[in-house]
Amino acid sequence: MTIRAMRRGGAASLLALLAAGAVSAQTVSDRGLSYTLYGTPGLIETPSALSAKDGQIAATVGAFDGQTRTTFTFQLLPNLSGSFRYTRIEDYTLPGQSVRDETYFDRSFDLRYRFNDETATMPAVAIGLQDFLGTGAYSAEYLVATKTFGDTLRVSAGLGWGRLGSHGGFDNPLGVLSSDFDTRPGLDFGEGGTFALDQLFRGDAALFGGVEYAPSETLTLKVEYSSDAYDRESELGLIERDSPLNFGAVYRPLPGVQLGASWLYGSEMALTGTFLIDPTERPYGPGLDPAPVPVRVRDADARAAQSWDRTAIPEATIGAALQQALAAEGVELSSIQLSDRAVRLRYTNTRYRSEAQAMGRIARMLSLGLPASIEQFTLEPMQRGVPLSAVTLSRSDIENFADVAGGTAALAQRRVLDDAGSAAGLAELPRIDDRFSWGIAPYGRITVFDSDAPFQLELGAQLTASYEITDSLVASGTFRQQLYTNREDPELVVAEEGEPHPVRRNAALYAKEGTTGIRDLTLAHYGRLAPDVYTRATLGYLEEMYGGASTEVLWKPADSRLGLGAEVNYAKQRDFDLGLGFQDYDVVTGHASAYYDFDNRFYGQVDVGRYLAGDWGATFILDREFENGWSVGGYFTLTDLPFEAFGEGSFDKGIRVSIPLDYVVGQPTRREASSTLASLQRDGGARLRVDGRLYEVVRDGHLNDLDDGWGRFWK
Amino acid sequence: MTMRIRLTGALTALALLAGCGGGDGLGAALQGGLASLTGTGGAAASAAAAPAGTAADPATLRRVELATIGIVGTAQQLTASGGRQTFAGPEGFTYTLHDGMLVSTRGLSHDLMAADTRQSRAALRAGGGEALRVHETLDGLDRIVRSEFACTITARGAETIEIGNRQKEARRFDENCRGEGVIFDNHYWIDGSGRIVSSRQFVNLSVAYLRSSDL
Repeated sequence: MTIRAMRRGGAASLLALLAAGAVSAQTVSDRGLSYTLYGTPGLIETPSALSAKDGQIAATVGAFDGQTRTTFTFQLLPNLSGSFRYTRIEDYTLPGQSVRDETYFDRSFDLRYRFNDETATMPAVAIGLQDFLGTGAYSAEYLVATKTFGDTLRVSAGLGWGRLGSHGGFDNPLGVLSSDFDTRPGLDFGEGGTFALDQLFRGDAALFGGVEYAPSETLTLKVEYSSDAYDRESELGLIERDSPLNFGAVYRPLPGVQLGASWLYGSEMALTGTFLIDPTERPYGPGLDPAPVPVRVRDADARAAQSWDRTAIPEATIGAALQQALAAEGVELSSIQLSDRAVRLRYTNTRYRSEAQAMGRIARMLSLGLPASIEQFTLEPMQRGVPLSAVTLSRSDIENFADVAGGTAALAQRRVLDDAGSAAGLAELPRIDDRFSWGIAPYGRITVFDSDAPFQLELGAQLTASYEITDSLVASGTFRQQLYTNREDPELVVAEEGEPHPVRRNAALYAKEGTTGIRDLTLAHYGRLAPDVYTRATLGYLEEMYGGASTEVLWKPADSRLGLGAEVNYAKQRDFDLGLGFQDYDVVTGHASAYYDFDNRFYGQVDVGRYLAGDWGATFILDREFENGWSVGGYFTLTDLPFEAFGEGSFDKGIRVSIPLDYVVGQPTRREASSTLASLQRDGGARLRVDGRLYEVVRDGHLNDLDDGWGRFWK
Repeated sequence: MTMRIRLTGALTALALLAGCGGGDGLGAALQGGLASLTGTGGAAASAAAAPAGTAADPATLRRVELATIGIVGTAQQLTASGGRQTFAGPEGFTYTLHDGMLVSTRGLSHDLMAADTRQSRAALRAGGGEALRVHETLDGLDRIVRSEFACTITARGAETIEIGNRQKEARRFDENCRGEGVIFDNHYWIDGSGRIVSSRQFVNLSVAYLRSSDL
């Protein structure tokens, strides 16, 4: 075997701090990166100016003497990272609060921006905000520079404010700009969760820094000088801070895993574990998809044919045979239109995440089986019985571009994308797939961030069933049996003076009383009013806590970046036992929504309207989506409900992650796993949770999603 | 690397198309009506006419080996049209040769999505020379990645090789290719008519080489 992989420096270097090879400016920033106790790239407690690889997610648990910090850091952009942290500190209270013998839980959020790539002479420089939302117990700001020397040594030095300006502090140099910078106002955290703008870069500043040394590719040794005085913790007697020096080591036993130990402040032993996930690297490579059928290339005479002999091959025979053949690809063919030179298909792809991949498989089958005179293939993918778009391909292009370098791109250029055509001319095929489907699966629910019960777990089994009355009219339901929970008995929450009706706060009661029950039971109809206008109506027990009727309309042309929608719902609160009964509370809720697909892989959404508690306001959502289906994003909702009435967190906000299941298992599947790390779900800004909102259903077949998956056309 | 490829999905569908399932459907049409109508049915129909288990025309069989991932066996030709032959190998993978040159694989996870091997083929015909070769693969974000290789094709003279159970005289050529981060060597054995009767061709770093020979 004479394959010699000549990896360039930085190509495979999550592992090694400065692995062998030239140190190039572009790759140095994410090489040999390790994480702090705060879960951010850096030394032990203090940050460095480095960024992880674009898109990377790092989950870090760091613990020492009564403090546990669990942090997710996402590299939002090559230069910008965000961290979300959940902290547990025994016997802690915020400055100014009375000392209580309780465990303190807190969420915090950081941002870091790196200005430049490190070069041979210039260090990388970054600015960061630590815990600038929330209650601010960890709040600090910093400017930091990091320079790498040779293959094994890296030095960071910075200027910190807030916590990072509390040891060895001096007058704030920003005081020359304005005397406002000289003092840092006391924490006025209220209900927490708001920007503490009047604190940023205020008060004393101090210097911090440290050195990292990598004796091997799997080990990094660190020493740092921390400018965090741990004032409050010392005051409460939680930590003995004898020294500003911290010493640590990080070991990487496997790619994507970092284990660290350190000796903090001359008195504390700390441990960290970091797990890295890179959405751009699939564990199973491009996917274990079974091989497709090959393309058949017609010869010149056959290509020239203008018609085909319908007595030899009746149209009905082709329709039925194609339907059967496509079923093996997980494609349900609903209707077909045949002419001498063209074919149009409407189908539902039930297997491939990428509609483009399903199209590639269908196009190959058509090239193999259809009469030679048929030159034009128009494919109209459907979801939930609604056609999403029409992609027209020429059969000659399919023949010419299969297995040809540049063929994927050339086909993308030559395909014609349009709105799906009208139903006229299409011959309906009798359904051969099962209208009824069902399944039993385990379910689990984890509720965190509740300060009274920070980790609640519920496990059980659920039976789901659906019956397709027609392609676009579906009855479905989910029945749940709870098998285990560590919840303690929740109390009924009743609205106090000035508080909204508890539209979500009684979630725990549903878990307690609804141990056997109906999670949802609905009749849903999808339709298309006009080529660009889609509708949905859902009736029944819409979600765990609400039943009623939900209606939605969406305008979204197949090739447009913009979508506009409106949703109106009547919702009535369900009984806690998840039976058929309802409570007294009901509300009309709904939103006008705008969806925008930015061309840099960011998707934005704004919903304006009335929420479940009757409050009016708007939700802002921004997601970064990867071509392979991963999505990471955040949202917040501001309504006319005052922060005090909202309670802890001041307003609803959170981050959300969606992982396509084919990424995890390697086999083609349309399923995905989604999770939302919300701040505590309270009553302000709460939305109805309806399955199958139109935008998510429709966009798979539209321009950008098609383009994202186009690389899989020939897979 | 695990490599479990099931004979499902598309190939089942192909069997269906190819009429293994019974008299009705497109398979039958393909063997009968569709094939005769298009006038080109030969390839597909011959694949169809030789369903698994029956004695196939040896001209449609190849011996195939992917040593690195442990796949060895006989491959059956599925289609031959437009100068391209597609074969179904063991464990459900397929590969396509264009005039004897490997241009794609499927069902291997790390597939060769497409290749431009025209210059290499021309150099083989010319008895040696330089060639630019292009390979396409799929990355973790579903994007096509294009790799270019500068290759030198050198004649190595006549060799006696075993094709099936027969000894055969063939001219051997080596193709040495160098690209960003990879160097590989392909071998070809070409018979008197200029046809590649046996070869060892590079797929990618994960799969390494595919050997394919006449039977």
